[in-house]
Amino acid sequence: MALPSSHILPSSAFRHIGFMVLFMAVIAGFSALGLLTTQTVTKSWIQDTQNKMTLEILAFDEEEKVVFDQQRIEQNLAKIQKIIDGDPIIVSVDVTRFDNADDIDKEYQIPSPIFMTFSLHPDRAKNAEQRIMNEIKENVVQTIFKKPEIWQADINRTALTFRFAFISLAIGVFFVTSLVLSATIRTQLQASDKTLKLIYLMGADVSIIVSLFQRALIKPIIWGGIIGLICTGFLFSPAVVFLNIEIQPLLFYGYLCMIFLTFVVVSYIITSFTVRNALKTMP
Amino acid sequence: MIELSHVGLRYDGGPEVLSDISLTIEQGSFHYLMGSSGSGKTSLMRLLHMGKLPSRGHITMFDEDVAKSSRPKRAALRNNIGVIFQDFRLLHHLSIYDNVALPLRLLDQPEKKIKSAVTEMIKWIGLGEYGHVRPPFLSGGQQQRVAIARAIITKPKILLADEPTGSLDDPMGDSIMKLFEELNKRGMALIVATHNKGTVERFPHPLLKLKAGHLV
Repeated sequence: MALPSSHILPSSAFRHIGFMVLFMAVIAGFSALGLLTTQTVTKSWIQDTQNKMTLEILAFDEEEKVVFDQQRIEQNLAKIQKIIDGDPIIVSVDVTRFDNADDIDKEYQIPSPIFMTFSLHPDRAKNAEQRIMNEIKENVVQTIFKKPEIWQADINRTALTFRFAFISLAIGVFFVTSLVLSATIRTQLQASDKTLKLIYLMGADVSIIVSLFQRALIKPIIWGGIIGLICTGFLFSPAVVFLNIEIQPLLFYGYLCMIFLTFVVVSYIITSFTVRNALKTMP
Repeated sequence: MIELSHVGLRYDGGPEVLSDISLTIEQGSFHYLMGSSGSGKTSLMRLLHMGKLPSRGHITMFDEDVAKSSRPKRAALRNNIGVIFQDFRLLHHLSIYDNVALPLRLLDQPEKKIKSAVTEMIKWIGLGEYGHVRPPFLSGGQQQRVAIARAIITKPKILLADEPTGSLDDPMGDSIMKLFEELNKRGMALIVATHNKGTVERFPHPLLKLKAGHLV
């Protein structure tokens, strides 16, 4: 039977590690949920932008630095509607006005821009959007077009920023965990110095000492990790339901299992590295 | 079995505490290691149980050059060496049984085998009823016996004892020496570091004398 780690290391040595792993697992779980949500929302937004083109009828002239009146903006809208009326590639048009403008805007009669979303026919010619854009621009100068590719690039850029933040958070969690583990192991190595030297002189190879530490650590890491991930499930499931985020449960739980396994693997590697490094001066 | 050839030892670049030590330890031999305080007895014992590696010269143990061996190989070599420390170094949070069982557990022996070997060993040292007791509740002599039991439970080829009777009265010291002689009769080599001339006279064996780091 292998030497029980409790014979060499005090049973309380790594008890608080479980609490740290619990806390870190919740943060890592939050990061996983954030990644999944970003992925799902991005996918949905990208789908929404397909076969769509948007147009903003500006409320001011950028070159002349002139603010239009609302009537002129409405006239521009009417012109555009006339141009696109009956065009076979435009399936539908949504017009968005900002009627709920602030009181201050109303008081000073600050005009609001109008946004138009064109749903385009999926089997359109390659240069169809460009043709419509040219026709509109010839008649209404003060417009900004956004083709689907531009929206998608914006969405992807935003998603990338969020992904980077969530992945950095996860890496940070594992980095901090590794630092704390390493410091705790070092402290324990110093506290058990005499005992460890004794068993070393009895013929215990460094690998046996590493395994003693790994066995002492695995219990708090397992319970800390499991409770942490259960807490993550309880904490974030209502948020997922409330916010109506469509994430795949299997994928989410898969991520959580991966986090748990990463904690175990990181702990094993850090333990091995720290103990071997600390004992390298032993003959 | 163990051969030291022109061995020197210095700590952290300091002066040599052992110089030009050459000796051979044969299987079944019994030597006393004597010398005044600071003569290098403990340092020589450290070299013999590989607690330190020589600064110069060669140590061959069981046909292996110690300095050239890998750490796992050295760990395996240490399994052939039993060590009794002057301060016993028993683990006070463990029972006598678990202290004696420690080396066998390090060797991954099955618990059934450990139980039978440890029970027999504790009986042999006369502490059969103390298996569950922790070391602080034992006398110095009893603790010394436990340290001996722990050192020989794996049946090492050589036993190194650093001042084993130093803190014991003569009758208790003699009983320990009788245990050593019994082990020696079974074929175990012994090196006993002592400055107790009475013990050496009552239990005569060849002497290794150290003076200022040199064998004389």
